[in-house]
Amino acid sequence: MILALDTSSNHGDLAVVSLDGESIFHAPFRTERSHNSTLFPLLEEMFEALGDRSLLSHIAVGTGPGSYTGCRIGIAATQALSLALGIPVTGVPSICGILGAPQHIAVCGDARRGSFFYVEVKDGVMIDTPILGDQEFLVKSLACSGLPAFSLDSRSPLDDSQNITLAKVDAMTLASRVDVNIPSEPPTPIYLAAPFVSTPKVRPTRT
Amino acid sequence: MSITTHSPEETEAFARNLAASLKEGDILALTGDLGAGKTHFTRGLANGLNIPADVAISSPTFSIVQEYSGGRLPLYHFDFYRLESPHDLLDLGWDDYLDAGAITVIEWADKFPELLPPHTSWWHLSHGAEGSRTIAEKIH
Ligand SMILES: Nc1ncnc2c1ncn2[C@@H]1O[C@H](COP(=O)(O)OP(=O)(O)OP(=O)(O)O)[C@@H](O)[C@H]1O
Ligand SMILES: [Mg+2]
Repeated sequence: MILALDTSSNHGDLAVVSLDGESIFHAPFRTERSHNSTLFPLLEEMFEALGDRSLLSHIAVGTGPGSYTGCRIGIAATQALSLALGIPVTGVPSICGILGAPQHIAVCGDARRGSFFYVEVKDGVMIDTPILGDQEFLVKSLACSGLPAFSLDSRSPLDDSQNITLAKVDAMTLASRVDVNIPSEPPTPIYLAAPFVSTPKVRPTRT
Repeated sequence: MSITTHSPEETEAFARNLAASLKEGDILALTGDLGAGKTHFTRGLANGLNIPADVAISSPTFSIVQEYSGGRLPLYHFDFYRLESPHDLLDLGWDDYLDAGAITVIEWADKFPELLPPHTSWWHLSHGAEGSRTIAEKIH
């Protein structure tokens, strides 16, 4: 069975899925800043429902792009479980876990400070790394590709007229992206590099 | 706007009153020299948000950020003084703090003005005559 977890946005999702895709346990949850009070009791509940921990053979974790802290907490928690249970953990881009998404989609989101990301997901796989640009770049990318557009943000990164579907990550879908025959590499968060480098504007002098 | 205060208590009282008008997601960027009163200002804010008086508020110069709960809204108190690059701040999960629906107050905010959202309100504290302090809201 595969345990799948995504904490990359405020809509967390946890699922246990059998290797032939049957749902064994599913619990969506609201994340909060520390994640402690929701995630850990939920994991306990999952183990209790499962009865036997040794039924788990793989772990899948959403790696974003999304909340900085959220992605890291999900990865840290699943790496700890991986060590404790002696089973592999695979990172899957959270954007590959959109339930019922068409075969080829565009995913976009607010990357802060006036920048936005654009990336495509085809057959459940992220194509290339997310590209960052300004609002005009995003509008043009969406228009050029003509693909159905999705976002995992809590509100649309552009105005409503752009037809971006707001979606949540579905842990079961995330689990279905894992190829259990391929050895896993340690998951790393998808980092949307800040498109600026600057030196401090003032240099405080404290003696 | 701008006011002059003549004691730490007056600076705190000013910020305490200001706290009443704050809503979730508000950001206050404080600037001004060493000892200008940024931490006293923050104490006033905490008090005005009804954060329990038994928690001591000091500059989070070494911890960079301190989180206070138990009040009308959570308060995140940052001190950018020791941060070397904007990436250090992003690596603390800065964007998540801004999304959390709390009040964020920052000492030495002018080190990384590009990381502060447009709706930030900027306050400059400066030393005046005979130990007074001037607190002025700046358009950034
Ligand atoms: N009107 C005033 N308002 C605020 N503080 C005052 C005033 N008059 C004198 N002080 C003194 O100035 C000092 C202000 O200290 P505070 O820690 O608030 O400064 P700060 O701006 O946070 O400094 P730092 O940059 O070191 O963090 C205190 O010692 C306080 O007693
Ligand atoms: Mg201080």
